[in-house]
Amino acid sequence: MTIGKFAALMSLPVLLAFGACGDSAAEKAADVSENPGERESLIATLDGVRELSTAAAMLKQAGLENALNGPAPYTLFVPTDEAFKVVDADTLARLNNDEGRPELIALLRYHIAPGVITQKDLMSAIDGAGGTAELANVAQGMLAFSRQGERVAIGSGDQAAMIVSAPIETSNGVIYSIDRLIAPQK
Amino acid sequence: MRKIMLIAASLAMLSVAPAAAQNGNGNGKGNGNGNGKGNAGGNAAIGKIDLSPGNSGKRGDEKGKNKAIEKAAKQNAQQIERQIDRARKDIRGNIDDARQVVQGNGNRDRFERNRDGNRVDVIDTARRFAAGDRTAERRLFDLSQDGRLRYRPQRDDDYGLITGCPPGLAKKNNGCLPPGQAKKIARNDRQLSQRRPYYDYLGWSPRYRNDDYAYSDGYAYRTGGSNNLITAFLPLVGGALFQGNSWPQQYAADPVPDYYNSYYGGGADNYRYADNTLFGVNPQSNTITSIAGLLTGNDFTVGQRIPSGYDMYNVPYGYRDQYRDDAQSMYRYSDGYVYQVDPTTRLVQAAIQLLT
Repeated sequence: MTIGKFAALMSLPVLLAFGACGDSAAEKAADVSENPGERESLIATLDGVRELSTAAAMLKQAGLENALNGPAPYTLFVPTDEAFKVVDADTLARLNNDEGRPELIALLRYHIAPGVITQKDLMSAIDGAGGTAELANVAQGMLAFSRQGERVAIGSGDQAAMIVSAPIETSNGVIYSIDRLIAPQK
Repeated sequence: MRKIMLIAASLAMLSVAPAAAQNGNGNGKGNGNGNGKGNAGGNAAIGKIDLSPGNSGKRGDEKGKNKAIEKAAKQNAQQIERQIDRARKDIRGNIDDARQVVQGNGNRDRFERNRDGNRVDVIDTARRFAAGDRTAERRLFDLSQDGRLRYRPQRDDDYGLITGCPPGLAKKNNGCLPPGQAKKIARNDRQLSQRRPYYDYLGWSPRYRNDDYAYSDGYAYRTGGSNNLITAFLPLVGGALFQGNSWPQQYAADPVPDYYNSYYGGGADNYRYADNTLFGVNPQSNTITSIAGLLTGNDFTVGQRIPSGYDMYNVPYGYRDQYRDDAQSMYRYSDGYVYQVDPTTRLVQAAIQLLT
């Protein structure tokens, strides 16, 4: 499958969900400058994506704004607002207060990988690694990427998170929208 | 100028112990648990008996003076005895705590491995804490010969836990906490082991799975024994290690090498390292100002195989033209460096700094 076709498929669910909204991840992904220097940072970009507002707020609550606005590059796998709806209210409340911040940071770190991973890099790695490519995150864990049909899964089985949008390239990294939180390894 | 460091694989990695960790540099001061402190003061007081009028009878009266000296000496001796008794009780308590740690893990040895791989006498550590010794700060990183942070497993056998009484929770006869506070911690948050993020963050290993951990006020506490006494504690990222808080006094205050400050954009703050995280710290106030960088902690050693988890090309935008995978080399980014790797052997060939 070509990357262009993959991108179109990835953006389809979001387009269906939000129509032609200018703030969707798909629109944002299509609208970035070719020149990284002219793009917004990871945090600034997240602020402008409607379906990623819950995660954006959590990253700020976790005090990660400086790190994600700085010069060091990261690739984020960001659960959509829909993904957070399956998290129970008590857990969300705990994560969103100061007492729960260590737990929140520990959780968010699973969704953050070092460096810039474009869609082309991701697909090439999956194909080059025989179907499953591994990516170290900043939680001392490992994310396993594979194709599931026309989509890309993080993890395996019923617990796998799926990439649901074309990636948004920012000045200091890349943002992928995913449809559920990445569960820490067991 | 881009700096490429080619380090021969045969070079032994040099552990550079941060000098400040040896010096104490102020962080370990001022928060002893109080019970062991009095001895030094008591001893010093013997040579400083006040012989001024009103305290020792008539001035120049040798008999009265001697009496006063004897009385003061006796009082001091009694005071010292009392302090020694208290210290003994404290030491006894901590020895018991340490025994609980050892016995609770089914390990009859009194030694644990610290993050340097050295054996640590847990009873001696407890004894020093009981005596108020907070000068033995935990060193949080070493440096490789080329100046990179040299990582060790985030949680070694001792988990990075600090044995003894946490700050602000002076040792009492019932353990590390005043009555009530221990109960409060136990009641509020004994369920850390049930939470997956904590489970991994704390680096649970089979050895410690039976321990109880509690969260309170930015620290994870390991509790044990029939009285749920606190036996060790850990400052958490996002808790004690968070903007607005002082850098934990039990941690050495060594700034990371200048390169990390420059690459991660440190500005006026010093960057310090703990738990795969870079923190901005105001060098004057010792206050944490930001979480400045999130690190993988993966250990890239020139001449060794690349760690797993680097299947994907991930070089930052500005360097993709210079460092593009080809038949001879592949390039991977991690924690501020790009690494040149032999695509066939997967051996790391060079560590490349990214400042221009």
